[in-house]
Amino acid sequence: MTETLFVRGLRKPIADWVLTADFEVGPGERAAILGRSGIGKTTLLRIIAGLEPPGAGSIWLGKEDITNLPAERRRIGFVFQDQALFPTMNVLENVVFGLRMAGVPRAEREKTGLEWLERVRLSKHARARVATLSGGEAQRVAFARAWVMRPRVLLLDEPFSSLDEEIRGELRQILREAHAAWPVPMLMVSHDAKDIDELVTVPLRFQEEQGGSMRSVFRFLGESRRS
Amino acid sequence: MSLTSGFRWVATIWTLFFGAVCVGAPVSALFSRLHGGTLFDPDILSLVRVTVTQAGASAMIAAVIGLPLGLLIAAGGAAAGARSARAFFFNEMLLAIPFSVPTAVAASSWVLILGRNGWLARLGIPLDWSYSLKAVITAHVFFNAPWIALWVAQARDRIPEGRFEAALTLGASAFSRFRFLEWPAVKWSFFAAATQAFSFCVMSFALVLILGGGPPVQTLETAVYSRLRFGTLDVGGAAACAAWELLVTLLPWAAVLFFQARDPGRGARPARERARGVGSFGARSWLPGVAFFAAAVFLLPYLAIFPASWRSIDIVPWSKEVLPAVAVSVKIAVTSAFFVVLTALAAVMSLSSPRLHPAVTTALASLASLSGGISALVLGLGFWLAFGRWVDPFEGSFAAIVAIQLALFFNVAFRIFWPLAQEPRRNLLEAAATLGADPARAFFEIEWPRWRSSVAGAFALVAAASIGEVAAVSLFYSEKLVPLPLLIVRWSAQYRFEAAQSASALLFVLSSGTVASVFISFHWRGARD
Amino acid sequence: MRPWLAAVLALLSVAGWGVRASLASPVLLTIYAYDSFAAPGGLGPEIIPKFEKKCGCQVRLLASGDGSQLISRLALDAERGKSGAQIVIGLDGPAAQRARGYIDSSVGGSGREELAPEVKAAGLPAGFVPYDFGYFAFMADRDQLKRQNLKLPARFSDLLRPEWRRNLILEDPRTSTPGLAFALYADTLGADWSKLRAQWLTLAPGWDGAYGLFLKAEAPLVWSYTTSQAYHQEHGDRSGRYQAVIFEEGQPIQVEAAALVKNSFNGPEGARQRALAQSFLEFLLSKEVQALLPTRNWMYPARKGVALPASFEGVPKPARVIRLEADPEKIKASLNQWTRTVQ
Repeated sequence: MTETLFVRGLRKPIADWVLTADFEVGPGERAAILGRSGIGKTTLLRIIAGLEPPGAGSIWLGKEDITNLPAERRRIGFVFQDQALFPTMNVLENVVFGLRMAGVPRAEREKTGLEWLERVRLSKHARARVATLSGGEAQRVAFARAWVMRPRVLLLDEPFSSLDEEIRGELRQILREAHAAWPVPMLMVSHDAKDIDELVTVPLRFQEEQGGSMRSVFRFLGESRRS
Repeated sequence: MSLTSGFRWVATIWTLFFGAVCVGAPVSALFSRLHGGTLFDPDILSLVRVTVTQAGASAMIAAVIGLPLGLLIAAGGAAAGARSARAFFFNEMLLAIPFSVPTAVAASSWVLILGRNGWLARLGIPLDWSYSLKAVITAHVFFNAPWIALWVAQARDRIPEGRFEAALTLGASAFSRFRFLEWPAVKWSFFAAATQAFSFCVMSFALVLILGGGPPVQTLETAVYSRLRFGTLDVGGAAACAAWELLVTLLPWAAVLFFQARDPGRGARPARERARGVGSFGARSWLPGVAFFAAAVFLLPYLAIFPASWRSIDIVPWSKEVLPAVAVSVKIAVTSAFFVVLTALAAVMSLSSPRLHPAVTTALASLASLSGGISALVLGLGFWLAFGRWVDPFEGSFAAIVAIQLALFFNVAFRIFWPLAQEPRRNLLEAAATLGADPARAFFEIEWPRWRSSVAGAFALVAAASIGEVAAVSLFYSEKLVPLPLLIVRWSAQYRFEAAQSASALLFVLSSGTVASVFISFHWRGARD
Repeated sequence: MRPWLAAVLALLSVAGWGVRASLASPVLLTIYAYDSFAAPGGLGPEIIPKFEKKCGCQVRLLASGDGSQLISRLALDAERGKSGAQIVIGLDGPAAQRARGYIDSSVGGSGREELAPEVKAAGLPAGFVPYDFGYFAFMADRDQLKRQNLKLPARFSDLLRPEWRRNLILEDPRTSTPGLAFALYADTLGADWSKLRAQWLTLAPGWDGAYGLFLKAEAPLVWSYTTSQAYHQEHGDRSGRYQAVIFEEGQPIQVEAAALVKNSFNGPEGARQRALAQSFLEFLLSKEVQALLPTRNWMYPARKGVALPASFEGVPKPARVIRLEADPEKIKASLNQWTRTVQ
């Protein structure tokens, strides 16, 4: 069921940079992308998710080339930096949206949705409007929404950036548990060394091209595999 | 990835089709009769001056009233705390109704109030200006101030209450809060509404003719009327007046769009997040009440028609003549409103293509309200000149009536939708895509709930205005196609003034009822969003 | 895609209605009529079925506004070289002069034996068959006169007195037939517009607007027809509150006529249509139709010797009948003069 994510020979001009990437993330592995603002970290996630076309190169899931597959058919979970919860739906409706799109019957998807809300400790907010949620709660809804459709890959864009330390710890715990239950390749953009130390397993190589010279921007992050 | 490129192609084709058939062909057919000489005829130039003065004064006064009124309505809604959404939408509805008041009703009501034998005169307040420019401006202000207020209130309502609380903690006075929070958030809506009010006043003609007291109070529109209705069908002169009307109404709107596009703060539209149940200004418990009365004041004049029509209610042949006319009116209104909304959505969609240069978008958006500067009379004649060879409009044409109303009301819906399209929630659409929603489903699940109430609102406004519209209808009616406003005109020509008065009251009930019912059913329910 | 498709289909079906409506009924005779002729309660719906029975043909009425709009129709039809109707009904003297070019002038006109002398004297251009006439006059509201302590004006020149300031309701001569008649009438009597312009309360766009204001008691005098008095008599005005005012200088006459449209009998049935159209003009002058005119059109029948209803008997006859200028060029010049004076 779980496959390796391959990013092969990606070259994408962003403003006056060229983002290049060539890496893979295996099942159950957690990888992080570091780097200063505006360097294309989010763009890389968006390319993998199918929200933006790659300039050159290809994206593979196992033996399937998904480079030209539309986003809605990739089944790649994405946790957005601003959560992007749907304001016109309540918490549960947000969580089960992916199941609804996949045609899962109402009773079944609500059952699954409630299970996930239980897991992210939000069951009592199931019918709440998303506007009433706190930052940490909203982030947990976003996690649950991405997880619930059993994605083939999970992408997280600075998921903890605006939260305080205590809540981060809690969310990391939730994330670890969830990932253990559904061990797909996971790729995270982060600023926080804590995220890196705990999660990073895969060496990534990103380069910018400027005036013809190539230099490394992202640091290599060790090679130990924990999961 | 372009989520909606397929839709956008269809939308663009539809928009171009509409533009060519309903506006382009008639207008160019008419303007091909234009001679350079007539354009600068001193008589016409003096009409331009009078028109701009009248419409400018009307719009200016309406703007001066509409801005604080709109802020008051929004503040009143916020202050109502838990009931805020309902209070706000109810007041919005009150502000929207005057827009739909048929001119027949407005003229009649104002005569009943301001006239020499009117209520004010009988109360011992005789007005020596009851038939003059002042009367015209009064009627126009009552028509337009709520319209401007509606736009201002909606823009003000989008400011999160939290910002006001933040400002309060920073010691901002009421004026500072206006200057730094409210004005930047409402100014473009305000200017857009004010330019539209200006266009309405340029186009207005029945009110000017009846309340103006004759020359010198006349405008380009009344000149078009007299050139087409009388004398030797002066198409060239009418085209010259129409050209000036277009120019005069288009320039302010283009200017607003131009400056708005250059305003760095224009994109900063926060999502709707009214502080419900908090009521930060809840301390001022009088605000909601005052807001309600302020909104209701602009409806009061038109209620004058009811006591006057009550007396003759039993002489009206309701089932024999009125009911069929109502059926025709409703059929026309629903069809017109449907196509107006559809076309405006298509236009907005095709114009919000990211591939267009911002300057091009601005230019096209100004052009999109071109049709708001053409009178029904001019369009009707243009239709004839353009299509008379193939179809006979005199045989009574439902399609022609709908097409003209489409052109007349298109820009009302366009201006409602345009700001919505300027703030698309791309991130939400993308989130939906990562969850497996295809573009169409993503649109209907995510975008549509946001558009729904505006679409319903635009539909209601256009349907209501169409119910009272008489110019397009009187050009293309037939014996099988006599809507209510025309029936009223006919009755008046047959001395049946009292029956006409009662039917006008019904017309008012129909048009305001259309606005009210759609506002209530959609906003009441939508208030939970 | 489906909503768009539905919309396109809906538009096509709407367009389809228009097309089908024009194909549905095989019409033999079409008449351009002023609106109140064609409206329910007007003369048209009452006499057309009778005529159809008589001729065994089908008649269709296309209504539009007033005489001015009828001329616009004729002008536009002439421009596209295809007439939509064979008969036009509802043109008065000035309108008839302007419409001359669009009219088949070979048909018998206003010199006919059975016509009332006033009508014959009106001298319509060739081709026009008059069917009714009336006199323009001010209608007075005696209740308002009493309230303002005013006496009925005896002469047109009395209207310039200060007590009539803002006490007249007129129609705009540029948009209304009675309005134009008043302007020409005032010119005929040599009135000074620079003084007259202070006297009117408002210039309504049409007769109906003006009369509506009058009935709301906005002013004691309104420019209308002498026969408006008959209407009020017929509808319960026992006290004679509404009264026609006759001036010593005389009142202008309006004669309304019908005519055949030039070049409109081209089709395969052209000859038959023409015969039918002519018989319709005859039918308009028949005693049967003429007797209906007073209470349908509130005008006098053009045919002499037709019995009038009782309500018409009290209507005062003008001391003198004034024939108004009908030359389109002169009318245009005097309207221009009027505009400059009142501006």
